[in-house]
Amino acid sequence: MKVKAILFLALALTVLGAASVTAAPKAITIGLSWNEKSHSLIQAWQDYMKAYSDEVGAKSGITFTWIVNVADSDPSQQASNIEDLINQKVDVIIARPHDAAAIGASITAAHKAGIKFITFDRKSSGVKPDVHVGADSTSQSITTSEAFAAILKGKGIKGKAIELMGDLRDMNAVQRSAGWHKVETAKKQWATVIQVPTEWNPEKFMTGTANALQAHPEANCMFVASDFCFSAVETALKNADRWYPIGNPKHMYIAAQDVNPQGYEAMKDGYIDVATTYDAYFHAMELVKAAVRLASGENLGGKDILVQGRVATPDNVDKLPNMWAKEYKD
Amino acid sequence: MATSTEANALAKAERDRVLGRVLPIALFVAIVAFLGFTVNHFFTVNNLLNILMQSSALGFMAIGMTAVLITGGMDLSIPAVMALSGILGAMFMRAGGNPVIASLIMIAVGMAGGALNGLAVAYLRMIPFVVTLSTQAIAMGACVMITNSVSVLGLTPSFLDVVMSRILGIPTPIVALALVAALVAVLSQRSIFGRWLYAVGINAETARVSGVPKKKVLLGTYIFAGLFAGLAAIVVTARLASASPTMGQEGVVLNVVGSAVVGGVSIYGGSGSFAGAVLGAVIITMISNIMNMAHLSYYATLIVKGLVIVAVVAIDSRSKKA
Repeated sequence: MKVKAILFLALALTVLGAASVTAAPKAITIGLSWNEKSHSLIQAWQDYMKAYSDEVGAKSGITFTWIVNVADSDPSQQASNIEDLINQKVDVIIARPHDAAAIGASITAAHKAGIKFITFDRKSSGVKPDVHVGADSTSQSITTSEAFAAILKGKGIKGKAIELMGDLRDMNAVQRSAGWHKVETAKKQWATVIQVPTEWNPEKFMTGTANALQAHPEANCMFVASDFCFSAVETALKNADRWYPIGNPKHMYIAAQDVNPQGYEAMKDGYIDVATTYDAYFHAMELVKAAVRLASGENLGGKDILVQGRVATPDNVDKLPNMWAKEYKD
Repeated sequence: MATSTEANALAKAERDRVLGRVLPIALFVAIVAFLGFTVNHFFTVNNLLNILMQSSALGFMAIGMTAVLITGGMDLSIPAVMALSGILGAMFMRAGGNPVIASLIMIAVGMAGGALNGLAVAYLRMIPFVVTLSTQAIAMGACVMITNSVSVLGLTPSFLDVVMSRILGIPTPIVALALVAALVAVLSQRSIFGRWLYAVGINAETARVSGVPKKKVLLGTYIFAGLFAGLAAIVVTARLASASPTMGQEGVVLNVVGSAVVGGVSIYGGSGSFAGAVLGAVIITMISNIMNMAHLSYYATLIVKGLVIVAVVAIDSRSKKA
């Protein structure tokens, strides 16, 4: 009798526990805090998030409400915007931090108010959120670099590379550079002759490329940390008479990242040899899934959900499904 | 004896001056009343305290900007100097330094930035717009160079606890801003330096001939603005629990100038109140808050802010012409 009671109690507790963790709410209000919105990628992310949440909502009966604000590249404004989301008692806050350190104060404030917090695309360097969703920038640059090494090896070329780095306040940029150099050391198919910090500034992509070509006319390949403003690189290469497609003896071998709209066009036309995609659609999908899990009471333990990209070349770029660069133009 | 035309013109000028003073208050009351009834979550204690808290750093910078504007000058470097002050003070704390001394460092760095501007404007007779734009570039460059683009964490917990504490339920920065604004408002009306400030703004040459030490007043004004940049740095750094090289980016300048202008400070110099500037800071902050609470587009926020500032400047311009 006693054993039966214990077993019944254990069963009841298990059922209750499972129900409390996995029972999805009927409605989820998500507060979305962008640091800035000057790029089509951000609009693509937002559109995909809403579209995927509509899909999930249709299947599960959950009603999603999105409250969106933008911080104009000001960490103080982002803190204020998140305070406003907290005040509106959202269920989950998703933030793309402008400043990896400053976002910590907002995470703390949200947790104090009992609101779950997801960092997206850029990690917090201090206080941990409930979960981070983003691209696997390290594997992204490693897959690109390995494919690039294979291309150079196939052509019998020892590369002398110009590296256009991103904004070193952005962990994505730091990881991409690290991945590039890791493969450089392992495969020894090229040597980086100059690193150009661009701070993700198109003007610096252009002037940096021009100055690097001036200083190292022997450079025959490039690593572009992101192709979001590839037209700036194109301009510099054209001015230096180095803009030739694959197959031309004067072709500059280029390994890029992301396959943004400008990069997509350049790859289609045969100017970029290889890149790994920054998949806005899959990022958005993982983000919505994480938000639902958190809103359902699940503890994600502050882990990172990292989305791997796909290797794209001029041969396959048009065949890859869910390519945001095809749908959005700069 | 004034002719009827002159009397009409004087009456019109007086009406426009009164309008310039009354408008910010009327705008404030109208916005609050409208929002109280139309926007969810606006009229809650939490949200109203948030607005005041969010406008506290802006309010300190607006006070500094107001002094400069009253003299007919301009200081575009206030946010960037604020960021540099915050970074240096934060680095001192991270290295184990006393938070009180760190706060004094922030104020001192702010005043040093102001002194650089003041010396150039007052003694080298350089154009304030150009000088302070250059100082802005210097300060922003220094921020990035010193930090290597990485924000400064590791602030002393007691610094955060004290600055972010509450006095009778009201965040300390709000109380501090109110007290400082009141003190500055009284001094501007009752002190000799306050009178000199307005005299230089109305007509610098006449003021100089009348015995006002114009150069010292201008220098003092920019140092005053720098001091308030330092005070703003204390608030922002504590609020973010870090010091970021991007704290003083260009968009903040619009908010600082906008706060002063919306608060009734004339960009032509010679008039305006410090209390008005603080009210302007609250209005500017409220615009962002309203847009967020009403779920309106971010771009609409920029348009509304711009339109409000243009409208107030237009009224100011009319009153000056009259």
